[in-house]
Amino acid sequence: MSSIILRNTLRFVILVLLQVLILDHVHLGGYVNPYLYVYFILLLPLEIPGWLLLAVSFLAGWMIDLFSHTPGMHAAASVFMAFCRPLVLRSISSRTEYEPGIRPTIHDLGFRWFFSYSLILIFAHHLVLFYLEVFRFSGFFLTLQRTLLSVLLTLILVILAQYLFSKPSR
Amino acid sequence: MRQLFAFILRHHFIFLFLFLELLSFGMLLNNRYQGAAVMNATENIASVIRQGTFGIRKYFSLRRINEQLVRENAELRKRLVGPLDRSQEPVATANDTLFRYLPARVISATVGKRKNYLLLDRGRRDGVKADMGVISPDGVVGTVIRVSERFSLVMPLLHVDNRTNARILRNDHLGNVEWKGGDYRKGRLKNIPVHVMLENGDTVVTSGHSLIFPPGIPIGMVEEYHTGSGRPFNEATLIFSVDFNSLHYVYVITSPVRNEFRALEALQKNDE
Repeated sequence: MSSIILRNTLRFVILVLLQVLILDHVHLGGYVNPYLYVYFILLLPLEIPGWLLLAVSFLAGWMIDLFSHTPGMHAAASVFMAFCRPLVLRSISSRTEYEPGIRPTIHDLGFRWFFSYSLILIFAHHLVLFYLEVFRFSGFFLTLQRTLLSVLLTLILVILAQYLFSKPSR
Repeated sequence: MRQLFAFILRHHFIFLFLFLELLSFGMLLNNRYQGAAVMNATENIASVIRQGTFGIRKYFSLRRINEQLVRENAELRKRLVGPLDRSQEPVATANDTLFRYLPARVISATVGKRKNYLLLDRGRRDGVKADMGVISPDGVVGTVIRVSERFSLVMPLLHVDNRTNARILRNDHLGNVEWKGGDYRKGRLKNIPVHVMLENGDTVVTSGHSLIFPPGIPIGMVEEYHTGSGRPFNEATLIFSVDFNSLHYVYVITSPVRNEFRALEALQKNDE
């Protein structure tokens, strides 16, 4: 139990630092940015209580906001993503049931499951984030294009992180 | 009452979600009304952390910074009148008395948003005030909008609300430089009268019509001139002289006669 808390805390710290120190300076083509810190929210344990899920997601978004002078933007997007997570978990099926101890990773639930799981949630997060940033709907398709490209970039990094750092559970 | 609590408790997930979203939107709107990121205590903590890591990031760009400094040195040497000889002091120009340059380091910068900001490691105690211009050796960076004791926040050209007076170097016509978001390397020069012809590669510089920037500081180069839109003014696409994604050292422009100039301006406003 405590090892799960420790591992998630460590992941939180590393991902926030990685985001604000390195990834915030990545701008492909001038305006496509990855937001890998959402990986933290994706990998939170499946058994996490709803209130804690919302609270830590808010905290993660708020930390990013502090560093990038965007009060509330990342917080709002992260909380929305956390809100969607239980719904997504319920609606996408997997071969295995979500047994206790199983983690939301490629190893435990398969590539297809993980792919659709992270695609939907990253999309939810980025959609809120980019439209909040623009704060209006003119230039709708430009923002949408920006959102989709950034989703793709974040998704690639998330899956890469899975293959590089996630070990099968026992 | 008990039923109400039971109701809230049962649907605590949704209520907490709404509460946190309201909180976020509160912060977002609050910030939007004030027009710029608020530099409160928490932000200053983030600034201090950023300053700590700045050394590490700077190390990786030492080579480029060096090249930039060498280039600037060469440029300054060229401007010196005659050889470096004390008997032959360079001729004082208007700029020498009107402007002072305060070097500053860029602690943090964004380029991917629609409202980007820079944070500098100079603040009130170094004499920085709001509305001072900021330039880099390559050209115009932006304007200081907020100052704390040790830091200052700069609105760069890469901000949708930013307007900078500009002059086309070749024919002295005036225009406005704006940025609409998107690519951080390209801006727009607006309000060019239709009879003015521009060529690709024309240099756009500061007009010098205020004491924010000295005249003749490069802003960008015309990439494409859009004509024939039927409106009284044309537009051009600019490539900014400054690479906003790799800013390290900049100069804050102060002017010893700033207060005098301000007072005169205020007087004129009162007359209107």
